[in-house]
Amino acid sequence: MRAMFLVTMIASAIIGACSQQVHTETETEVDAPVSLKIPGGDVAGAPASQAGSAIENPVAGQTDAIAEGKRLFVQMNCAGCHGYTLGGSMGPNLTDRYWRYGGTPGAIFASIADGHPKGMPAWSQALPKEEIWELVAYIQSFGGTTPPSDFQSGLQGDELPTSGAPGNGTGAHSGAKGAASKSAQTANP
Amino acid sequence: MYFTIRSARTLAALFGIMCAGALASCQKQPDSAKGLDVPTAHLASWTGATADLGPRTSEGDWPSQGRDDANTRYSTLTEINQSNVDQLKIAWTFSDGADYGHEGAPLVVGDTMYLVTPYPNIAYALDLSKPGAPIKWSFAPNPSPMAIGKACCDAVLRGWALADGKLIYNLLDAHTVAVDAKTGKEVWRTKMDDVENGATMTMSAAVYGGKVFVGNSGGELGVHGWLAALDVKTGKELWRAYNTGPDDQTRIGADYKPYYDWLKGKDLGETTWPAGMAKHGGSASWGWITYDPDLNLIYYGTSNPSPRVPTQRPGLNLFSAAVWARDADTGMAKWAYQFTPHDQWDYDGVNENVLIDIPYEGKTRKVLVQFNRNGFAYTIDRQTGQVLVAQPFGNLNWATGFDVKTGKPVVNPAMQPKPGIKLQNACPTDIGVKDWQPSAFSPRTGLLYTGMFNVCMDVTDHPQSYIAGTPYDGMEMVRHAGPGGNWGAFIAWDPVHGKKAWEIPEKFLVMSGALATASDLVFYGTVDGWFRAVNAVTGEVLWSQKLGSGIVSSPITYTGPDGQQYVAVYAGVGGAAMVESQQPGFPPRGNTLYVFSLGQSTIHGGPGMKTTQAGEDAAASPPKPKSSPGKTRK
Repeated sequence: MRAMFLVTMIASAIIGACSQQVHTETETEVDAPVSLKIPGGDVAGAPASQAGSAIENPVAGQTDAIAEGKRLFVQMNCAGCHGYTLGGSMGPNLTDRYWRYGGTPGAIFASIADGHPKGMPAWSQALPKEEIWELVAYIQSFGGTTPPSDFQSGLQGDELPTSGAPGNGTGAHSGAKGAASKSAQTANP
Repeated sequence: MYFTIRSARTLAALFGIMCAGALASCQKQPDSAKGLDVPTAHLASWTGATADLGPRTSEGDWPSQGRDDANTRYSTLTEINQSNVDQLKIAWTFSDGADYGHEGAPLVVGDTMYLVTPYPNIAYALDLSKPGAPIKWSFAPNPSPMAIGKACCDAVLRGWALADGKLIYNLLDAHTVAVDAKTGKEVWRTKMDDVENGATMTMSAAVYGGKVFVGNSGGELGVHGWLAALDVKTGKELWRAYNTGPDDQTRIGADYKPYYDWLKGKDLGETTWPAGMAKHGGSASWGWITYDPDLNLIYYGTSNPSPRVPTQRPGLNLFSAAVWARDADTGMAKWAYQFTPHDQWDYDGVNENVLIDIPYEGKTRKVLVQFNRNGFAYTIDRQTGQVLVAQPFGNLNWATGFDVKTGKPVVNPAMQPKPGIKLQNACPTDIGVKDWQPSAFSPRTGLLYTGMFNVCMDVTDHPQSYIAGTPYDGMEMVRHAGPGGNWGAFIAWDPVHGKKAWEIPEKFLVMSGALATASDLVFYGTVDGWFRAVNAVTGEVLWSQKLGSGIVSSPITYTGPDGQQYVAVYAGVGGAAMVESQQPGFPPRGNTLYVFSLGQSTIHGGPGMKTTQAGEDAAASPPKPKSSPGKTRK
């Protein structure tokens, strides 16, 4: 208890000093432009985190990992929303180049782990990291994902260099009824 | 008997033969036919079927989704008739900005039209007495966005209700809300289910005898299906009946007297499932509710069982894919009937049950008619649950026939899906020969009119685990048009003899509701956006108009405050119709209500018209200074 009190006292002193300094600066540089890097937000209010976006998938392209990802994709009921050929139905198409929350391996990992406000569950409690990377590897095998190096241009909506096979899924071909097709998804992000 | 419309004249001749032969009742002319502009040869009802069209407040209103308790969607208005329907013009339009499928019908009472959008479920009251029908009030309930990702088949809403001075409807996030119809202020809101676990609400609330009836959606997400009654004044839950589970949950007691022996027994909603599976057995109630005030019974159907992989749930899976008759006051079951025992193809039983009375074997029988997803049209005694007629109304191959004695379909063993094996060309596909889009009944022709599908599937089952809030589904499907290549059709159906009277093939799905009028007109729309008026007797198309998006809502008709008859329909494709979205020519989404009237001008527009709301100039002039040059020039 005593130790904690001490820490608090010290912290207060530092904060006090800081505020004073800031205050002084404001007085002297009244019109100084504020330069802040605020992460963009998605329509439902969650921050579009850039953390981890440049990370490579450690198991990308590995045959075993892709096969395991495919098994998990059906077992964890992912296919019920995103379609058995990943072309989208209740959930978005994962084979095209349009990504609401980023299409790099790291961004897709984050989407699976943390979920999203429009109904995507957060799987970080249910699945170990290794299995999430396997799911990412399976999604990457459809060719619509963004290389980590193209993260920024992906955010801007710029045309990305084509790599790998084009997406082959279509909304009409799988999953629940009322499939949101590629075109419907674009019209309704 | 199966006719395809090629020549209306040939058909009329065929009907003449049918009438003269089998149907004695054809010769009887109903009173309502007098004085109307109808070809003399067709004055008679084909079947002698009638309906209780009550309650009837004003003929010019459209006060509930089904128009009346029986849900006939029949209007007695006759200003628009067979000889002038081709002069229909757009009177005004209203775009609501919502992106998802527009599946509900506008309601009109007096001078006001009531609309509710799909998610985010914004309500609008429009003042029909003023030019352009301006917004009186709007109400935004802000349902949880999570619901979008839990709705299997688009973030839709299939209708809303007016009662006790309130507009009452379901929110996608599984709440029911009531709004003051005059002010647009929320009166009550009741949480009905848990959206996090995959329950949504997409059906129209229905109000009968001071009670609001609502049910859940989520047959694809392993919900526990139910229907509940709420107090219209307070939103307080009065009773709730589950569609699976033991008798205390399904509200089965001493009054439960099903017609067939296989539906009798204790706790069938539990014992016809593997242990523990009934509580995630889907069987949601997301369709329509009809009401017989004399019997005080409500009728409604239940969805497919969850998971959709049948090998995971051996048994009948009661009471999925079924219809209930329940006491409206207590919710206690009177009878039940399962259309598709142990459903293997996703054939929900939620379609509308239209209540009509038919001559049958020399007696009048009170019946309900349901065009089931499984492709059979059922005429069922609504007092006992006995199936009187069950005949295919479209293409199916999952069954080879119907056993009248047991009331069960005869399943085709070749069309039973097995896990991991692709079963080719099972018909119909998951959306059925017909989905939720409601049919209409005309007491003048004695026929029902409905949009339908002609779609088959290649299906591969994948066994599923129950994970709350995710699809408990397992059907991988490739859907394609059935024989003939047309995805849709619109038909007239004789519910007494189980026969198609006529059929109009359509290239695209027909997933709109139908509207029948006393001028022997029937209206419907197609998924590629054509709105049509048809001769109710012959099936001849009299008028068509292309709208801005596909039509998956139900047309209505009403009399405006100016005394003119209007026809209104939403164009905003979505919902299950998106299964056809890869077909060339499939339209983009939309959100516009189109309102039609006959060629002459209305208060909403016309030649030389310049005034708008409240008599103000349409082209607003700037305020004029006291001595403007313009004024002096005059």
